[in-house]
Amino acid sequence: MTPGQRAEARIAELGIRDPRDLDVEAIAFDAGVSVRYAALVGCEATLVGFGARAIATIRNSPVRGRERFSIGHELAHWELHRGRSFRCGVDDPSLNLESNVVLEREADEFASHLLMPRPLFNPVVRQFKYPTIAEIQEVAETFQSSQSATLIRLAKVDTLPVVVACYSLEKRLWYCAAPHVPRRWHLKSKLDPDSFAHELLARGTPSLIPRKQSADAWFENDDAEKYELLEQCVPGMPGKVLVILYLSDGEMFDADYDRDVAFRSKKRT
Amino acid sequence: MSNKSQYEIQLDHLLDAWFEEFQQLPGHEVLAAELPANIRARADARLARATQEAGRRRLVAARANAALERARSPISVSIEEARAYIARIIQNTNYTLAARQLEEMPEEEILRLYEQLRELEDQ
Repeated sequence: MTPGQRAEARIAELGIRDPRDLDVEAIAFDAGVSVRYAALVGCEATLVGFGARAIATIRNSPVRGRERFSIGHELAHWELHRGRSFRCGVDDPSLNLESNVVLEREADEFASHLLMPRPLFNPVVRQFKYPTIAEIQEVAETFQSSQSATLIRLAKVDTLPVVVACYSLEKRLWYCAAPHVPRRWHLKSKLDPDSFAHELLARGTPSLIPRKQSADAWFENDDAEKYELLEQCVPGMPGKVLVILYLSDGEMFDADYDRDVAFRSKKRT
Repeated sequence: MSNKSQYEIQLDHLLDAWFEEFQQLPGHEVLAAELPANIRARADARLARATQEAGRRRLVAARANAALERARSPISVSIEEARAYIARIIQNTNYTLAARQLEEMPEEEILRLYEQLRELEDQ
């Protein structure tokens, strides 16, 4: 079983059928983990365990979704990595997208499936064709998760042709594409001045509903200008922008393999 | 001469009777009868519902117990002792520790982890 499948099996075993019942502290306690909160400095959470019991200490945060994700993450370490001692320094799923630490990725996968299990998450998302920022926020509130964790989950459940990304004015910080989006599409590593996201960072103009945009504002591929997509963006942490791209043009899925794009994009950066 | 027990004989009678009855059934009634797969699916669904109900009760109990958790009073220990203790336990597979490297941890964190480990050992 993958970490995600294990988390969803736990949700099913506990008879949870409504997002409101996703009480992550109770789920952790049932697994032998007591949750405490503290003003941790420079660290999101810690876990200590002995025998069949453990204590997870979570950094106090004004964002409940972040605390919940940390609990899910530490519970994952308990379920998946018990009996080991290792470095656990980052809990933000978007930061871990840039991390290669296997244990952290497994813990993030477990946490995101635990907090947004597919059988509960997918029906909520399917209500929307191309969810707007407000609708994504609604989903995040339903599952008491952070906006970035919800966006990443939205891509990973693979029900929509979506790419989510985070940029600063200087560079792309992370991105996550729905698995069925063809890999031939290479997302730009820097914001294009024609993108709405650039406008948001440079001039503060948000784009809160999906708007048509030429695909060459977002992809390195030479043929990108032939296609249009839907772009929306929202301010992230200070100096960062969260971008949601919907590949609404079905022809982008039929485009031929682009053998040189990786080479071209390396030359341009 | 037959070696069958009384029970086997009765079972044979029952099966014969059931088979005769089955043969006399009109075709549409046979087709309307429940397939073994359906009966099995219904039994599986009943078992799954019972498992989920047990899980729900577990979750309710866990919620109540989690709310009863109280922090213990701090333990008096020197930072050196706490550090040495943690350095020892990280080699032991009875313990799990997910935190920063020992050398990166501020003293406050070392003491907190030490207290939590002792609390778990006392349980």
